[in-house]
Amino acid sequence: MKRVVLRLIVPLFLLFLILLSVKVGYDRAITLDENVKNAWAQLQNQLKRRYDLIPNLVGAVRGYAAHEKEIFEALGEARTRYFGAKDTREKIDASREIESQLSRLLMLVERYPELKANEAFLRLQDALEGTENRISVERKRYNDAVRELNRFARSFFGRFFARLAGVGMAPYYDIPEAEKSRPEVKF
Amino acid sequence: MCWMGSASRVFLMAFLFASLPLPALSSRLVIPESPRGHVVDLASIVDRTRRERMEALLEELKDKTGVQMVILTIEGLDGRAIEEFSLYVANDLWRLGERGKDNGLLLTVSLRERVYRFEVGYGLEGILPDSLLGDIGRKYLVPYFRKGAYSEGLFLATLAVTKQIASHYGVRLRLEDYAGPKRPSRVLPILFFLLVFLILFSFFRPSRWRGFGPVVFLPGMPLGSPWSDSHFGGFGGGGGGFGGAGAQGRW
Repeated sequence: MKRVVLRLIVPLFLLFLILLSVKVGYDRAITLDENVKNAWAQLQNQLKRRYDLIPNLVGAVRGYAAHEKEIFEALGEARTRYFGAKDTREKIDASREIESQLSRLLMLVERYPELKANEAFLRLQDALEGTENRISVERKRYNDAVRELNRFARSFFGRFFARLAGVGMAPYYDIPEAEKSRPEVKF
Repeated sequence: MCWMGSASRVFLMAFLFASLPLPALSSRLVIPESPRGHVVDLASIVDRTRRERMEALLEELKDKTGVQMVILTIEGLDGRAIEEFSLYVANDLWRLGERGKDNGLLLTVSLRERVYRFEVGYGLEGILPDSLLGDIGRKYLVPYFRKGAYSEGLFLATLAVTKQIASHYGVRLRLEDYAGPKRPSRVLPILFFLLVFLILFSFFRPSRWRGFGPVVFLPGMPLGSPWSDSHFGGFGGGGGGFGGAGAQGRW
């Protein structure tokens, strides 16, 4: 009698443990993936904000520097490419292109003191600065979420659970060189 | 022998003094774990009248709208970027604002770098657009700070910000009425001694009087006096989220 109980209970208990660990791993994969998706949605909101500002910015600068057509065109192109992008990777690439064109545009502004002193332009600059800062915050949060997901999806057991849940690795939003060189903040 | 002893003692003293770190050089930035008030003046640039006025104004704002605004002044950022520092304090350390409403607001001023930043919680982004805060900074903070009138600049900027928030919530703040500097009152020193007396009294009161706490009430600062009991402990919003919104500038 005792042996029968032991033979039944031990395998059942082991099966229960296995199922439990599969459930935990599966849920973790799903959660991490959702975190990345959330962070990406937040980041996209802010990126959209930036691209809505660009026409105003270009309009303001054009009045002073009409001959710098090349930058305006490159900006417009990258913007169109962003809105036409199909996946995360393409969107990130288009955004990176816009970032480099934007910094060129802002360098250009330095050459026009009247433009820099213009009150409407100052407000536009506040809005752009604020947006860029929001983007850098959301970008960091996105990259943190990606790091956690990718670490899990590459780990010994995580690999298995990620495949089970149909969750893949996510691409990082590469940080511009200028920001990488910034000293790390520690408190 | 005796000469040797005194010489070595002198040498030892000199060595000890040389090895003592100078307070000014070794001063590290220490931010309190919770704000404990609306004006955290670590750089000591705000005069007392103005600080109390701002405390009262911001306490009234918090009572009527729930918005938690804190002003933080520091001596220097020690090489940190102000965006990162102010986001860290507002979002991670103090978590200003209420959970779910994200209605926190932090104004950081760093003296050494001559830089300020408004950090705006998610819930206030619609009320306080970056360009409005940029205007407020350029109009009030920059010109007054350049003259060294920190208290005045901070007070006027605080008034402008609270006015904007109050009008959005459709409430009127009583304390917005008096904008000019208040002349020092002669009652204040007397009140101060009264306060000291009350505190001393509360330490030495007979045991049968226990239960009667030292009720410190100073007229002229009915709300948010930094000494009032309700202020300690019950201050923190402790749940607000920030996403890097706001504006900053230099003077």
